[in-house]
Amino acid sequence: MSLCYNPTYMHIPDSAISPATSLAAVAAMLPAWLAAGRRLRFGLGDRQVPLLAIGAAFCFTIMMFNIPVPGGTTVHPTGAVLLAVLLGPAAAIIGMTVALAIQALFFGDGGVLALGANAFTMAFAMPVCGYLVYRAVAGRSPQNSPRRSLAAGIGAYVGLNIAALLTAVLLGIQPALYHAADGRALFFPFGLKVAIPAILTAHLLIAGIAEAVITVAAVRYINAIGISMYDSGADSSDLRYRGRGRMELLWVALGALAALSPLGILAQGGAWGEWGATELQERAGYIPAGLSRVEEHGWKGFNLLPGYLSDHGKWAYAGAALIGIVLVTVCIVTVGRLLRRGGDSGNTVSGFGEPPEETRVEPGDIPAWMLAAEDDSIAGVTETGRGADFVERTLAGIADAARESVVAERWARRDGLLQHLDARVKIVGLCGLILLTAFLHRPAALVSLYAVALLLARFSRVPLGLMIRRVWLAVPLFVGMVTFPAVLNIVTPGRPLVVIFREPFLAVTDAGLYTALLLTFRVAVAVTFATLLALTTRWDDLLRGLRVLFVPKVFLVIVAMTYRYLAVLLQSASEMFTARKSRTLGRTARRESRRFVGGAIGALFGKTVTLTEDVYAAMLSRGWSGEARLLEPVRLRAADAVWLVAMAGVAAAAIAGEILA
Amino acid sequence: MHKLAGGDSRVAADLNDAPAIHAIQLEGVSFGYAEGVPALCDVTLAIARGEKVALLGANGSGKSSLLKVMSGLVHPHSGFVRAFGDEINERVFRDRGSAHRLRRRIGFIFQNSDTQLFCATVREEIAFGPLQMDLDLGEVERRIGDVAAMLGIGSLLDRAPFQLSGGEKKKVALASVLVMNPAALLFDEPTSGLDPRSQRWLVELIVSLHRAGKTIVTATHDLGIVPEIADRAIVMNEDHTITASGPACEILADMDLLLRVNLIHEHAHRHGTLIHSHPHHHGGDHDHDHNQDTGIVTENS
Repeated sequence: MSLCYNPTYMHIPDSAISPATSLAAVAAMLPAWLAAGRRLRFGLGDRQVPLLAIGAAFCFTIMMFNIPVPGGTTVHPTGAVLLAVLLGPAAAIIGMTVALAIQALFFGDGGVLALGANAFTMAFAMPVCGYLVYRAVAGRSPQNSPRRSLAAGIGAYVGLNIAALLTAVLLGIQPALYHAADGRALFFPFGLKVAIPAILTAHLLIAGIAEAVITVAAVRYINAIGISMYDSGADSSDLRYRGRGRMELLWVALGALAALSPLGILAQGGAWGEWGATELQERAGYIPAGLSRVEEHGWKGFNLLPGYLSDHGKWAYAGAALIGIVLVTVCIVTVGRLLRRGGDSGNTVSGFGEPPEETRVEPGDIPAWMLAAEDDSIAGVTETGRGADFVERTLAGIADAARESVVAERWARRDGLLQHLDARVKIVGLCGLILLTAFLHRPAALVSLYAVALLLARFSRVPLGLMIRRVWLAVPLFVGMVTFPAVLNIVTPGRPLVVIFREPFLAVTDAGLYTALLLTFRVAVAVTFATLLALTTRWDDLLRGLRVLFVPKVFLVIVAMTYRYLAVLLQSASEMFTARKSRTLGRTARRESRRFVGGAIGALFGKTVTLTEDVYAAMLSRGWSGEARLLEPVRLRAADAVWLVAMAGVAAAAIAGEILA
Repeated sequence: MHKLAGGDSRVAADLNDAPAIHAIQLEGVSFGYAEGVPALCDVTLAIARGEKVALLGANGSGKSSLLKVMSGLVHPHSGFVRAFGDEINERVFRDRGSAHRLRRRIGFIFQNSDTQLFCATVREEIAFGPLQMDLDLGEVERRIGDVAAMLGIGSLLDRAPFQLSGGEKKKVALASVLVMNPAALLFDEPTSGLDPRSQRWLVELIVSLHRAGKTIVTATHDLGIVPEIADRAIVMNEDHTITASGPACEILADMDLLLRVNLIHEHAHRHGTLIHSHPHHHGGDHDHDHNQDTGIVTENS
């Protein structure tokens, strides 16, 4: 699971944002999903299903390609802008949504409830904004021109950073919107001032550049092997129409988000009323300002950062914006230089020297140098670096994901309590409990709920050690990272427990520690329930069960197919990395590594396109006509009803405990 | 070869009778994937109901494209295709009823099982076709059970396709097609990637499906299985046209023809001190005599 909790990764977990925000994000995504689906239905016909499914599997797979960056860490691309450039923004929206859904459902990466928010940032804002920037920069340049691949890189950089900024805004508005009577945040504890610089800096400095380099390399590879890109064949009038449609969509979705967010405040009526007069004044002055900021400055392309700059004038925003401008420039210059240098390839991969010019090799002849028993011309590279290099880390990530999907099935096949229940009932029950954890903020209530989760695991024959390890190794890493500043006196005033500096005074406070622990624990409880659901349900059952949550059939078909082809693409990716490992000695230069990752992603995309065509043919030959038909789930039994009642009881008890305490 | 001509009343009568005689008819079919890269050039052939036919040809000669045209997965740039008397073209597929009738009649077993198995579990995989055909759910379940028992994959029904071995995947792919009870089965390189035991099993299955009245068309370059899986062989050359069609045993005996279309190759090998070469294919027995003095080889096949 190491791949999922990368510090520069930005999947929002459940319980970091309020359910109301999650719902608002889903509402904002609905028009985008509908429009993208309609666009594909008319644009591609019934071909959309395999295209999207395998496109999503592709996105998922490349999220496991680690790229070395300065400082010894690695980041991985999301591929959203790459997908938009190659298959169009509509395909990117759906493809990324499916990839995110699978990560949330089966890999515990990003919350199930927060899917709407994660989709809004990574499946909507990122590909659409990235694509618009790409189109603006590319203009009418020919498909294989350097300008076009450069445009894709800039689009990727801007897209990723816009997604990061939106993530920061979604998290940052939480404390202002949802907090208890004592002022402690119910969900994510930091305001915009902390969240934006923290999240954006990492993306501006590292992840954005990596994403851009990867996108450029992959687009260049795809041009080299002659796969045509999304807009290369269309006529200009069509392009104009498409461009305008997208812009309108963007405004509609953003307007919806801005308009729906205040509903969250109304839903928290009790908390609202408990505010003091001065506090209400302060909040009332602050919240609408925060929302109208989003509304007013929405998407005006590059105006976004300067907008924040002028409104606030705070050094944090100014710093972030300045870094952004400098980095965009540096990025353009660097990518330009990389493109010019494209001709001189490093010879790390090709360890063999070229065959000597004078001895011409006829077809079928074995070249003389191959007959020598030992080849001395291969440079003797010795192991110089310490630790695993990126190939091992990537291989490990891919192996993890493959093992994950098999191991998870193992517990689902055991003879236990949850395994016997109908998937639909389990989904409703456990999702209800997850939702409940988001509302609880009494430690006792949360601890009891956690005990219930562990008891369920025990009766379902899932080893407790496994459950605890899975949750407590991963959750503190993500949540702990974002909550760390909260323990300090500068963020949360309180009685100092551990003094770090005397001058200036910096200490861990009791109130800060309490806030951080409560948030971490709440997320852990939610993740435990989600893990329990994923571990005890065969994923085909889980998918079919999702129909009770009104998930459309065609979406389920796409998710199922994505999951299935994940195995095929992971196998391909794994073979590519193994092949590279078998041909290289020791560690390779970072620049060379980045080029390899770009090429590998391009090659994987080539395979993806072929696979899509073949799968579509196979579906057609068995009568596919664009309408999804699934085997119906079996009928509910008495045990299932008992389970629903029991879960309702647990929920009622937890709520009662919360109120009484 | 079946020739069609207008005007003549006998031919017209023949056309009306066609559903009774022919499973698949192609008339002057040309097809290509990209401009300037032809896959099929003016192909005319007819396959009778209940016939078992092998399509022979080297890599890239157009065997797979021919199968795809026969099953209506791609449509020819020129020429006509008929399946069981109904013309196949893009217009036919707009009508759901006739599209389903055609899909049900012609089953296609792809070379790469991974592309054919796109569902979450083996059970859903087998159910996919019948569900598209709007079959009753009870009937679908019954057919899944029967076909799984027939192919011995009953224990795999709740497994995911990616957990299966190559041989098991092939069986599931077959089951997913057989469950629709097609009248004609098109196999694309069925034995490629299978171990000898699975190959044997598959050949015997094809033979028994033929005995049950199915029309069998197999594209292959595995000449060793041709005598069993085909009564007639159609040979494609590297110009994407049909060069020969006739009884399988006659085609296999025509060494010049097979050498010309690159299905067999000059094989150099050594017997004691004697090095020589002769036309050779892999699959059947390798049996020939040597004359130690002259080096002349006599092929026995």
